[in-house]
Parts: sequence; structure tokens; C-alpha cells
Amino acid sequence: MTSYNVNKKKSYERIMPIPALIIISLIFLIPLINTLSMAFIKDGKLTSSFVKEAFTSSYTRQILSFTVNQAFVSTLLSLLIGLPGAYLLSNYDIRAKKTILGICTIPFVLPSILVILGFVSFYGNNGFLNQILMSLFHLEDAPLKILYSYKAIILAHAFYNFPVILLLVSTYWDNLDPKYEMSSYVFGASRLQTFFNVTLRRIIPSILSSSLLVFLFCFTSFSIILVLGGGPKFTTMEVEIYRRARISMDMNGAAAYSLVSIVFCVILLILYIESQKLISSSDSVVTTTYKKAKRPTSAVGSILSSLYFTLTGIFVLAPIISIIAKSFIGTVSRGGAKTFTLKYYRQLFGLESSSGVMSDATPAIFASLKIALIVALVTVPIGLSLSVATKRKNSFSSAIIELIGMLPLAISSVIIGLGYYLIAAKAPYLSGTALVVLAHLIISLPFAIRIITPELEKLPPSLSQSAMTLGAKPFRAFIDIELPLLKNALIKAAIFSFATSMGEINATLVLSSSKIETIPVVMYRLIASYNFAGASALGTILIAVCAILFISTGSKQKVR
Amino acid sequence: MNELNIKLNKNFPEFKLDIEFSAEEGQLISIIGPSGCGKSTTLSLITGLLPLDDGFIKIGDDDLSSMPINERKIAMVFQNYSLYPHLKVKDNIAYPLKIKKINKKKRYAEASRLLHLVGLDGFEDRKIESLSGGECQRIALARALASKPRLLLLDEPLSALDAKLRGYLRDEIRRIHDETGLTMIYVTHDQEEALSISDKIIVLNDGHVEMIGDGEEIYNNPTSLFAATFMGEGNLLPQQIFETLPENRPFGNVFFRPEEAMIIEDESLPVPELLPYSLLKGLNVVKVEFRGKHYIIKARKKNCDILISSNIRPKSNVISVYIRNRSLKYFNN
Repeated sequence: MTSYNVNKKKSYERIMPIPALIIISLIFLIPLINTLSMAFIKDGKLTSSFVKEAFTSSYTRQILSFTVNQAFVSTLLSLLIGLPGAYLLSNYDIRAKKTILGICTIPFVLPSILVILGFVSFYGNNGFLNQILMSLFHLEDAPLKILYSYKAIILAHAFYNFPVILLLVSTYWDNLDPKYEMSSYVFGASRLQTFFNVTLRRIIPSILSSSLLVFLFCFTSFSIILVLGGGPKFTTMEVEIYRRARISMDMNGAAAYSLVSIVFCVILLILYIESQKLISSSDSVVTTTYKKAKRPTSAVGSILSSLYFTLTGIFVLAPIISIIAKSFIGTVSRGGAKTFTLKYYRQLFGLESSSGVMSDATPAIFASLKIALIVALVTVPIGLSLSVATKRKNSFSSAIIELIGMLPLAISSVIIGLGYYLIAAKAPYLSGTALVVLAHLIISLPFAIRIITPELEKLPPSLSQSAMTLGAKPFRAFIDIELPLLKNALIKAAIFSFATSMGEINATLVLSSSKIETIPVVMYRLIASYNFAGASALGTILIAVCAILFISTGSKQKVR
Repeated sequence: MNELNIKLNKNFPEFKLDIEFSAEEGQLISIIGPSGCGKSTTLSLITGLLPLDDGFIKIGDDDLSSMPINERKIAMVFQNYSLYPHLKVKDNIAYPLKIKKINKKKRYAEASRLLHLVGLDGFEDRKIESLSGGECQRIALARALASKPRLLLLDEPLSALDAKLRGYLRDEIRRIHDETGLTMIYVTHDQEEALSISDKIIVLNDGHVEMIGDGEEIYNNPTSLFAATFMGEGNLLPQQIFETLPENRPFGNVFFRPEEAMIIEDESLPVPELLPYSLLKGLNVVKVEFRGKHYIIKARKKNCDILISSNIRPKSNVISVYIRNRSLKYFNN
């Protein structure tokens, strides 16, 4: 098919990204530069002492070694859980593959506060798992004590990240050209020999690359460590930034540690990008016409794979179900038996008074919905205009946009939150809501771009070109032809931004004052005061909102 | 008279395009050439999708070359049709009218009229995804016509269709051309298509014009070897393998088409030809293919392959042929 290569850029393509780029530099660069400058300036004087301390002190080394340690162990456990699944999915013909992949994407979109709450409800000393074990084996005491410990951190990270390994490796493995394996069999190698000599070597780049990604995620993990770690014993770089900024009020120290975190993340990011190059340079495309013949499951294989997927299914779903269950179970009268009740919801909406900190959560629910709606409505047009700009390859703005795409990997949401927390002092005209919206916008924008750009690139250029030959001005052609065809991607991006904002806790927690409260922040406070039932009721509302959103997009795509 | 005068210059790092041609109003011109010769670039330059380095695109006295694409009134039927999947058939066709702010009733009336013209009555509310390739092609043509262009470009509009449909739609395009009286430029790589549809053919090679002329001129009197071989099969042979050749002939290799060679059935009899002719003797028959109406004979003499199209099957393995002298061309390659 002929392509009409247009080297003269359509003028709207040149103009469109400009407002978005200005917005980006305003809302992203200014807070970041402000933060980093505070690492070097104290009382108007230039100083390197904060940075020097942050990079060289033995305290830093202690934090850093723990950060690396937990990230490394978390990655190992994620690999241990994820790789067998990747093997099964790409080598066996599994009927429930779609369901399995669907369940595996749940942790991707699950807000971390829900993971925390789910872990407390399921694995906690009073959690469902312990209750089941106690009644099964008639135990007096809870047999599993993993909460508020190193184990809880690792397990929660594995919960979050094993699907990353599973999905990335199995996709890569699935698309491997089987010709080398075939020739290995032809030369008489056994299946085991072929696996170790041929297949394993070929999938190692994808294992390496996905592991680096998981390592990076765990490196910048914040709320899980803050809550599930349960003490200063388990302090990572991000927790230290939060602690300095919000507890010891040492802004310069927080800024200096932000710099340390960014430096390490950039190094990890470069390694990740290099590993990606390794993947694209190896033969990942199926060139032979015969697809890998997937083995029909033998009896043993069948049992093993059902066992594996049942266990991982429980692993993923049990914490979520626990939250929902917990929100409906309680004692109605003092000393009474546990039954189904709506009292936590009544307390949540202020319809029934409760003891302790449980107060009316309605304002937080409305604040969350309002913030998420604004974030969705603002993120999508900005994301769209930046995606249009990426169509111009090898240009300055497309390089910037690719950088923005990588942003959440290099600059953690804690640092984004800190940026706005520090800006707030200098810009009192920004309301609390505005600060949260801006931080959420920065966090959701890369996802919006990643959703919109591929769809935009799929559109053949001849569509808008033909509209122009028929008399439409370039911008008119974009509005009439390309925009309607991007509708699904834009809706998806809006929903993703909405859900990201609804569940965001890291940045919100770092920057929020007591005036502005969102659902996750209120949940965090409830968990911190051991009101798990109340947190579960609020969490169930959050789950319901996210589920409705994602199911509605999912069914929409199927119809199309 | 709105004559079309076009001169295009465009330099790419690895390709240079430099062509010039003209056409009368209402002509159907084909641009033909192998892939990579610059056909699509030519169309992109004429529509304005690519800017010219130098040259002009004149319809009558108006030079369109500095106008933006949307003001040129040059419509194009794209190779992939580029119909808008989110719009119904009638909205696709009416799209150029919508841009001109013509009211809905008139737009749809015009869409129906054009659907009738392209032979797709009743297709107004069909969805694009429900159309076949041939239907898409005709809707794209109707949409291009709806913009009331001064010039219509067609970029290999039939290349994605099967042979039978191609023949039918080719005639349809010619009929629509004759009914609308629109000047059209038709790009193709299929010489049969070019020969059957056009008033004038431009043979393009590596960014320059090899030959311009009507089908018969190009087929019968090609001015270059490229034009000769691209427009049909032919033999190019050194002079020394001929038994006889005309006295006052130029230098160069001898070119003739397979159907110009007549097999001498009985060498003992005189050749039944009144016009002057040349002889090729002692050809070894390598292969005889039966093609229904005629035979294609592949023969060899002194390392030269010779292709002959004949109504009779040769009786012997060694044959002689004669070719009328006026059918012989001479090219230095």
C-alpha cells in the first residue's frame, strides 16, 4: 500500500502540542525544580550540606540498603509466582486463558490503599485466613503472624507485581518464533535440553526486563511500606522523604532525599531501557507460518495448571473479597454474634454515631469524585494534544513526550506530592483541591498518553488527507474524521485517569492538609486507627466505583 | 478551454522527480510505471500533500501550486479508498458538501444522485464495514465527485480487486468519466488497464517521463526501449542473428513484438507477404504454451530468447519466422 509521506507538517500538528507543553512545564517542571532547588538552598544561601548528607551519611546507606533489599526480595518472589504462570500460559492450551488474564490485570488497577486493607482483612491476625485456619485446626491463637512486618511488605509487593512478570514474559514467550526449538528437536535434543539450551536463553531478555520494571516499582513503593511495614524499622527512600517533609518538617532534607531517589530511579530506568533494546534486537517476531503447537494438557499438566491458577486466583481475589465481606459483617448488639449488617455504611454516611474517629465520610467521597472528574476531563485533552505531537517523529516535542511517558518510572508520586506540598507554601492562592488535581493530573497523564497514542498511530494518514482533498482544513479534518475514530480511546483514557485519581494515595497523602480529604486518605486514617470495618465499607465503595467503570469500558469494547 | 499544464520538481535524498505534461479538459490520462517510479509522489504533489520544490500545476490560467490542499479542488480516490468508518455511506459522500455548509436535504439528495451514477442505488444508510471492495471503490469515487473537483486523481483504484471486477469497474470509471466530462488522472501499474481506459498515457520511469502518447502510439511506436518493454512483451535481438534486415536501417538492437513474427509454415514455398520483411531462421523451439486463442512459443537462437505469438502450432522443432520491416524498431540500450 502506498503511503503519501507528508513531510510538511500540518499546521495544527505544530500548534496543538504547544499549549499542552506549556501546561506540562508549568505543572510538572516548576514544582520539581522548586523541590530540587530546596535541596541546595537554605535561608537564601547556597549549600551542599543537605545533598552531601543525603548521599553519604550512614543513615542513608542504611535506608538505601533496606530499599534495595526489599525491592530485590520482592522481585524474586514476584518471579517465583509469575514465571510458572507465564510458562503455563504460553505453552499450554488453557481454556480459561481470558479469565486468567482478566484476573491478573486486577492488581494493575487496584489502588494501593485497597491492597493494604485487603491484606489486613485477609492475612491479619484477626483476618479471614487466620480465622479459617483456627476453626479448621481448632487453634487458640492466630497461626499466621505476617502483618506489620517485612513479610507483609514482600507479600504485598509480590501481589502487585507478579502479574507484571506473568503478562510481560508470557506475551513475549507466546510471540517467539518456534523455529529454533524445532531445529533443536530435529537435531535430536530432548525437550528438557531444548528448554535449557534454546528457550531459556531466548526468554531471558524479557525476564530481565520485566524484573527491572518490578524492581523499580518496589524501589519507589510508599504506602504499602508505610502501613504494612508498621514502623520506622522499615524505612525506604520514599518513606524517608515523607517522614522528613510531614513529620520532622525538614524540607531541605526531604528535597535532598528526593534527589537521591531520582538519581537511583534514573539509573534503574536507563537499565530498563537498555534491557528493552535487548528485547527488540532479539528475534521476537514470528516469521515462520506455523505457530507453536500448544501441547494439549496431559492429566498431570492439567492438574498442575488448574492448581496454579486456582491458587493465584485466590491470592488475587481473596484480599478484595475480604474487604467487601468485612464491610458487611459485624456485631449488632454488644456481645452479640456476628451477622450481616449495614451499620458501617450508616456510620460512614453519618447516619449513625460511632465511637472514635469514624466520622461522616460523605465529604471525602464527594471530594474524590469531584477531583477525579476534573482530572479525567483535563487529562484527556492534554493527553490527546501530546499524542498528536508524537506523530511527528524525531522532533523536539516528541522527545519531550516520550520523556513524559517515562515520567512515573523516574519521578515517584511521593516526589510529585512533595513538589506540590512545597509549592503550596509559595502559592497560597492554590486551593487544596487544585493541588491534588494537579498532582493527580501529572500522575495520570502518562497512562492517558499510552492509551491514546497507539490508537492514533493506527489511523491511516490517508483518512485526514482525503478529507483535506475534499475541502476540509487540516484542523477540520482532525475534528471531523480522526477525533470520532479516537472516541473509544479517549473514553478509556478518561476512565483510567478517573480511576487513577480515585485511588491515588501516595502524592495525596504527602501533600494533603487536613482540609482536603479523599477516599484513600480517609481510609488510611481509619486503618491507622484500627477501624478496619469502617475502612472496608469505604473501600467497598471505592471498589464498586472502579469496577463499574472498568466493566462498562470492557463491555463497550466487546460490542465494537 | 481549461487546459491542464503540470510541471513538477521534487528532490528527495535518494530520489529525484522531474516531470512535465499537459492535457485537454475532459481527458482521461493514465500515468503508468513500475513501483518506485514516482507515481504516488506525483499525485501527492498535485494534491498538495507534498510541497513542490519547483514547478506549477495550472488549470487554465490558475496556478494551484501555492494553494493549500483544501482549496485546490483536486479530489483523489485513494488506493485504500479511505472511507470514514464512523460515517454511513451517504454521510461519506456528503462530507465535502457538509464542509461547504450545504443543507442536509440537498446534501443527501446529491449523495443519492451520485449513488445512482456509480450504480449503487439504495446504499445510502449502509455502514462502511458492510461494503465489498468494489462497492468501497465506487463510494470513494462518488465522494470524490461530490466535492465538484476541477481535476480527479485516481491512485491505482482497482489494484485491490479481483480480475473480473477490475475489468467491469474499469469500464464503469470510463463511463462515469464520459458522463461527467471531468479531467482525470489515473495511476496504474497495469498496462492493459491503461490501454483500455485512457485518452493519453504517460509512461513514468525513475522520476522522469519516458513517453507521452495515446495507447496505440506507445504500443506501436515506442520512442524508448523502456516504454516499449513496459507497455507489452517484446524481443530485443542483436542484428547479426537475422538472416535479412532492411538496407537503410539504423544501428542498435532490433525490437519487435511477439505477435509481429509470422511462422513460415513451409520453407519450400515463397513467403506469402507483399510488404518488405526481414527473416529469422533456425530458431529452436524450447516451449509451446497453448493460451486459448493463440500459442506462445519460446524459441532460442545463439543464446537469444525469442518470444513468438502465433495462431498455429509449429510443426517442427526448428522454425523460421519473418517480420514486416515496418514493425521493426531499433534501440541502443
